[in-house]
Amino acid sequence: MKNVFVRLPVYTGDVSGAASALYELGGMCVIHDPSGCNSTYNTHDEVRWYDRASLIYISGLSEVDAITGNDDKFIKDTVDAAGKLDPKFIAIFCSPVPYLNGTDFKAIAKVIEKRTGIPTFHIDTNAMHDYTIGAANAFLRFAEKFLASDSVAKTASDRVRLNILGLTPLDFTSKEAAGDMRTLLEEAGFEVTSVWAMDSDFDELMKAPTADVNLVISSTGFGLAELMHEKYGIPYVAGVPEGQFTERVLDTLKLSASDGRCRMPYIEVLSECKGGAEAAVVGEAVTAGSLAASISLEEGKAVRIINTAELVSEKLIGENDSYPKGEDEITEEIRKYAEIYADPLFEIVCKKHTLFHRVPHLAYSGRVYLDEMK
Amino acid sequence: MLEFNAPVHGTWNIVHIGMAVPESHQIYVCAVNCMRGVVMTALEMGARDRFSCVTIEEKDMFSDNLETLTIEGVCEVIEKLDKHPRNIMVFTVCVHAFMGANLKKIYDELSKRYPDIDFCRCYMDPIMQKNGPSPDMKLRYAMFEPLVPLDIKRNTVALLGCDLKMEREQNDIVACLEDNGFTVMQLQDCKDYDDYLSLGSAEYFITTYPNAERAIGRTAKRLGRKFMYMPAHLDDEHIKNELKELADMTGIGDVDVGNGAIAAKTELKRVRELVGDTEIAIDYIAHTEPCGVARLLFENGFNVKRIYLDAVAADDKDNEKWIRENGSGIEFIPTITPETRVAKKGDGRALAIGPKAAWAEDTKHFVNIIEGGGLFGYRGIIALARLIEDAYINEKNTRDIVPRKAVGLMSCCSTPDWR
Repeated sequence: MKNVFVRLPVYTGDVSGAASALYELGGMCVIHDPSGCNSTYNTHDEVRWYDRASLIYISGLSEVDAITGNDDKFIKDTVDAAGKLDPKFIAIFCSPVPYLNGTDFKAIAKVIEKRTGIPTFHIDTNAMHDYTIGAANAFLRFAEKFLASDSVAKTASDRVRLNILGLTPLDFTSKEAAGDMRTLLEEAGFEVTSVWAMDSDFDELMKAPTADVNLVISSTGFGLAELMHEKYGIPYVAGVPEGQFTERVLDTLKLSASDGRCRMPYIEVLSECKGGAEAAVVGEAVTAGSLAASISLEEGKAVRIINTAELVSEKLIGENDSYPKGEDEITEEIRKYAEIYADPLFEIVCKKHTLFHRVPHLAYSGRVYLDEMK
Repeated sequence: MLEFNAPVHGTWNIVHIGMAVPESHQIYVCAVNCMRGVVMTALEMGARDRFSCVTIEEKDMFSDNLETLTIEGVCEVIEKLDKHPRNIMVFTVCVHAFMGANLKKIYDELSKRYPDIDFCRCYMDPIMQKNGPSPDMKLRYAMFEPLVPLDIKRNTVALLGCDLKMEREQNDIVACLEDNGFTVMQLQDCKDYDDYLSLGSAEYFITTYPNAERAIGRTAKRLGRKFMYMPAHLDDEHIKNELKELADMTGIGDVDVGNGAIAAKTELKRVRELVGDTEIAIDYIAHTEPCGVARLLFENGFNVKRIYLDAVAADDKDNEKWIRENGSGIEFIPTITPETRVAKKGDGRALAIGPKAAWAEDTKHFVNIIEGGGLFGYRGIIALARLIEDAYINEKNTRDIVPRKAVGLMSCCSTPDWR
């Protein structure tokens, strides 16, 4: 059964992914859940919780309210809290039992918005998917709610303007991640319009439609990139500028800003290396793919992606890459390679004598290897 | 009211509590997001090899597949393990409860397929806790279900239900029993499953922990043994009465606690002189009777200013009432209200008793205990006074300590500074 995990853990869940995506935007997030969702999230998956306040709560759903379909308490409690805290927006998240009993989150969001006068929306979480799905949905819902509904007039600029999409501590855990990325891009001549969503506030995100190109650095930002491509005609480029792969990403950004075409440079790099691969990078598609591309360019060898998170879109991996589901398939796939780059928790399923490179990932091993994520 | 969760995680959760049964293996059957917290708990406490899981997907919720998924998933886990564990704790969740999953069918089938394994019926169903026992209360019963009534070993007492071991130097129950020739059996001393099963030979069963009262009481009743609930009160009258009842139950005879009372008073006085007028803040995590701690310290001259708690337990009601009537200047401060997230923290000058109070006060001077720290009676009060003394003299790295899970257990993780 692909549902059985004996040796490997599971990724951060969708509820936590959604909360992480919206953390710094000044809103109030309410998880309609009896208990546990917030504790799990802020203990293992949210490195900002102790030092940077964000309004994230659970509703404390009870058995009686779930069975009788009583949404009034959830609505009242949310309205009361919003009255005291005055958030910029309210986002409500679903969990397994409200999902099971068909709670109408869209309607509840409307009621809360009407009563508070605060923009309110819901995120389609149900706790049965991983963080990539939750964060991607959160970015999408936020954009649908707040970004301009039509294409926007752009002013002329000497520099290529870009948005960075899909930056959360779950994939980029260093406190300096957002600043470093911004600096790298600005030194390369780009103008960073917004970062979704770290070290970039609500107002900065509202300028996103004025960008010339989107840089997607994890699959959590891919849905948003497609939305902005469709809505504003902004092309996207997927890839993390790192190591030997950096120049390729920067060049591709300029090219896409110029010709308006979307590109996946890490897939292009990886498909340029023909023949069987001895090495693979395990993890979330875009970050794993970018690392694989960097290794491939540096060492001139074929490297594959083993995408072990959920796949937000099939466009995120190439034809030679894989998307195993469940512990057995993941194990089988990893054992095909002599050299593996992955979170340390994957080492247990590698075959003997595998050359294993530790790439700790917050969304997988939580805070266990944080010291290595500098 | 919406609920806030502070970045303070020193209490034990169901994973930690269940792992105390030696040679046991835990299997959770739940959605990924719910799974994340428990699998990471097992990992951080160094017990990943005693933990497995079966994830629930949408299709399992909209078919009659949940029992089958649970049975077949658990069986597959068992077949994949190097050897059969002697005890498996299967945790079903809110979804099982809400869908009315036939748990009897599940456990009957598992026991039929694996008669060599003791299966414990455990729950991670917090949706049920507002109107009934919490998952940890149910676990404290389930984890002793495999015990059977063995031949009684005379003069033995099973002291169960508390997560932390009770040591005689800090606990009058242990000292009183040992001084009178009794053997105190604690789960924390069980090195293997046979040791654990031998708890079924104890003559008497005791718990001091409120969340375990029902569980250990039922266990004792099932085994046909006498049971006593001894909440960790901190006032003379209760301590004396509880120890007298213990003596009566076990046939020890009179227990002389006179010297203990005087020694406790003297120690409190000494520490009070040391800390002077330092403000004291206490939380509900530190002790099962935070108002009792506040009252004890207040009555002995300490400058108690704040109590952090959200609900007052039955055993602590009288203390709360006393403080509201007599504890001038003592504030009650909630910890889970939405406003707590943005409330101004303390100035760092207070001495805190408990990790949540330490976080709220932003102090480096705190006593890092949970659930009363295994302290009981006058020895417990003396130990508490010395912990306060230590906290006053020595700083702790609050930022690093309080986000860690389960005080007293291994914590394999880092707690990054994002200031």
